[in-house]
Amino acid sequence: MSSDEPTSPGSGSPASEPNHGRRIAVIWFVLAAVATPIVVLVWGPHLPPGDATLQAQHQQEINAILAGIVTPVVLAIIVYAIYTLIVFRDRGEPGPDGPPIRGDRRIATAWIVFTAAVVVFVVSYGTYDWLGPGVGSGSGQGPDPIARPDGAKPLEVQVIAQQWQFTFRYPSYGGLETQDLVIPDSRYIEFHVTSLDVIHSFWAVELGVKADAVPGADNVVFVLPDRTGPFQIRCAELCGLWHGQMYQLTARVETEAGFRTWIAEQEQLFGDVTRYLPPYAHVYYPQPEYRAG
Amino acid sequence: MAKTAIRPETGPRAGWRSLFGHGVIAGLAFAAVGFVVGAWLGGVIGRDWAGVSGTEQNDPALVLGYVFAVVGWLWGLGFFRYPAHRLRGEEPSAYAEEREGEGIRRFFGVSTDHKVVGIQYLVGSLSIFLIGGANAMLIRTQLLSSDGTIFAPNEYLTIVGLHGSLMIMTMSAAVVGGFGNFLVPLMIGTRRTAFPRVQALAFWLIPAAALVLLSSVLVGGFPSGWTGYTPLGDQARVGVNSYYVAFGLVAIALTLVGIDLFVTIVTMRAPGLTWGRLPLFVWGVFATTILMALSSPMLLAATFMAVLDRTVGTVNFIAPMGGSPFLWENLFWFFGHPEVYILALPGFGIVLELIPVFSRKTVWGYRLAVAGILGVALLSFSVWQHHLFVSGINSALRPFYSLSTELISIPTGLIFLCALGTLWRGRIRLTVPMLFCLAFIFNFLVGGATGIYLSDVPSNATTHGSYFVLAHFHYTIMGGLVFALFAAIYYWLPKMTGLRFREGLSKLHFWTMFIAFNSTFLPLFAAGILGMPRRVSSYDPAFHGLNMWASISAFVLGASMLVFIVNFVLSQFLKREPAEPNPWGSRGLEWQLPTPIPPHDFDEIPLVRSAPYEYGVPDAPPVADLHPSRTGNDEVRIG
Repeated sequence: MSSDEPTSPGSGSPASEPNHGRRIAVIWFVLAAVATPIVVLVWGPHLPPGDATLQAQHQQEINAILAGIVTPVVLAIIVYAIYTLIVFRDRGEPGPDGPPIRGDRRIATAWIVFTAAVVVFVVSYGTYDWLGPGVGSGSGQGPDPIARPDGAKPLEVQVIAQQWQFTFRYPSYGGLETQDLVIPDSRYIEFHVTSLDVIHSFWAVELGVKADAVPGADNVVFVLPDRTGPFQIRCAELCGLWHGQMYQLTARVETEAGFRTWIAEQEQLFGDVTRYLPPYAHVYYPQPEYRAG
Repeated sequence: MAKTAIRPETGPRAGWRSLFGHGVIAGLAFAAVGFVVGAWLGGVIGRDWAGVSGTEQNDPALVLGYVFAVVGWLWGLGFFRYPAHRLRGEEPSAYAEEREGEGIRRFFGVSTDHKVVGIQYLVGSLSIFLIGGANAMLIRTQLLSSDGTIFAPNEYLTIVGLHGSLMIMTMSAAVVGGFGNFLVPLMIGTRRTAFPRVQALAFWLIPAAALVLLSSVLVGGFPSGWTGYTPLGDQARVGVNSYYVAFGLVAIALTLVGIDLFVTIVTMRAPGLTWGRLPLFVWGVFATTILMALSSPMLLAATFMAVLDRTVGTVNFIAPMGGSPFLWENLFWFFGHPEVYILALPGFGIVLELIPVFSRKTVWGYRLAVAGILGVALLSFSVWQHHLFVSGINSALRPFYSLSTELISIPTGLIFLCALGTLWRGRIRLTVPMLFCLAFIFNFLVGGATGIYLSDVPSNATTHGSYFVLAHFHYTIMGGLVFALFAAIYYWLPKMTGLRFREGLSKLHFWTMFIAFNSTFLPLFAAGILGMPRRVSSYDPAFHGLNMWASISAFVLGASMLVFIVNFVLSQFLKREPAEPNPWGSRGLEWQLPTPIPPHDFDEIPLVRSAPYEYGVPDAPPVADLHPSRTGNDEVRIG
């Protein structure tokens, strides 16, 4: 990083003056060498959204990588700024204005190359991750997802948002609609998110899943749960009066056997209702709401 | 102002007639009449419509009321006299309220003096800023408890929407409208902007927009936040019309101010003021005016379409009938993301302008800084869909928007490099404006670093729509622009009003604001990434500690604004101490003028002789020759 600092060799400093550029570099290096591993290795594995699903694991890994990039850069700027403010502060002694340093081509080039390299790395790695091993990395991909899981057909679950609750339909169980969300672990879930009224956003916090629910649109998101346990569902897009109360705390990931038991119970409870529901579809157009005119 | 072609009006109105002169009072009266007429007309038109009769929701009446009220407001202020005279084929005349002059009265009517308009903008923006800030205090009061018991949900959402809308409105106008109008002509050596009447019109639309927006509380408020997403905005009751009309007015005002200052900077620079000598603040304003002129019309179009949906039954944004909610999202953010840089770029300009003065150094890398400013402006048009990463639009576009968003960190990095490089080996004076600039750098650093997470698609899946986003953009807008705004106020107000601030109170204001700001918004990053969505009136009790901390810090932040108000009132009104003409020893052209600045600014159009940042340069000529005819330089043309 020292080459990125605006040092100016030969700018007329007295021989007795310390080499400020080297001092800044040393202070920065020590701090960054201590802080960066702590952030990445100690804090990283505890970063949100946790590791309950493959998608959450990928987000967590990227959050840790980004923290590993951001930490030394932020430290460099802060160390440099504090150092210059202490060393070059005007203490009121008479003297001339600062030397007219108008820039340094090498430093500018190094800085541009460095920031460009960071940009290229961050964008390529993020894109590679969600298109490849992250399989969408938990964000809604619209009706025609380009990142799809290989192998066995995922379990399709529809998330229907309306003011102010989420309900769920299981097309492989005859379009059964439930009030709670339970999914099996160890196989892919294919959420189809839609809305009946205004825009909502389906945020399954611990799963690392977020997809807007838009009326008349189908938003697909894949997730592979890694272990069983409860997770929260929250609406993440302003949807009117009770937006803040639009959450569900009953959702959970079950084992395959537990899921089968649960869905059998649900069929007992709600199976009779299914025939009164609209046939399963990826979008349900609500009745048009006529206004003036 | 060039007065040669203008015939002065024959004296002020005498006696009782002066009560009916054009001004704010007449504007408000005409607006009230206009509202009644418009609402009556809307009532007549909508009487038999199914969506109106029997619903107590008369959208056409309210919208037409607003439109006629705004026309009445402008009429009462006197904006139609000039075009009316021209239409009748009469000579144009300079009306009393349009003339340069002295006295407090000129601030309460239409003035075409760029200095008066600048101060009108500043006072207006700061008033709106304080109302928006009071709304923020109410929001944090509600969030003191996790179950949201203080305000009803509709009240809370209206407060949230007002806070966001008022802040966006005021911050778009404060720096470019206030300091831009006041300073740009002084910095480029001209006596006025290119279109002084347009400049005045752009200002007087802002109070109209603020009043229209605030009036929504009288008709039930609006639930859709500052983004006004449909179908929520379509579903909402009549109060949401206030939001759409107000933002439409803001869009017109931003477009006009952008065009005016753009033309001014391009065509009216003094001789010798080459592009390479243009102050960096002017560069910041210049880039902003491009964004304003090109992106704000999109907002006007979008709000117009939304109002048509609500009033005459078009279906632009209504999915089941062939419209699309995505259309609003795209139109809105096509304006909305350049808008973010409309807020940020003037802040960059202020910081780059002030740091050389207080480091006693030339700018490190002037051309790089300009490239950074223009690069940010150019890229800002290509990033808007990062607001829609999880929305369900075609995900094949994401790599492009992720890249274009990240690319902005390269020109932003250049601006940082130039600002920080200028500190190197300077004689740094930690004055109050400089402290605000340094705080800007720190806050924007945090805001920029967290922006990387939001631009990254996998990371965005968690952070999107959460308090993480909220903390991020408060770091860039409040921590960035508002700190830069206060830097500018402490730096330039002694020139604008000729009065000094109190040093102790100014420092107290800075330190309470800086510490309380960081203490408020740092915990909210954690709340967001752990699972707290934005705009909720109640939340998971697990976040109660973080929210308590943020709320108490926010109240301290609010108190720091009271310190500023006390400081302002004391130094500007109660205990006035005259400021020196150039207390900071700045080389800027505006500082070479006497204090207070004479109404006509420059006795002669100056001849600019060198760049404004030649601190410590041996044999640097003075920045400009203010009387070229006396020194015989008036024939010289440089650049």
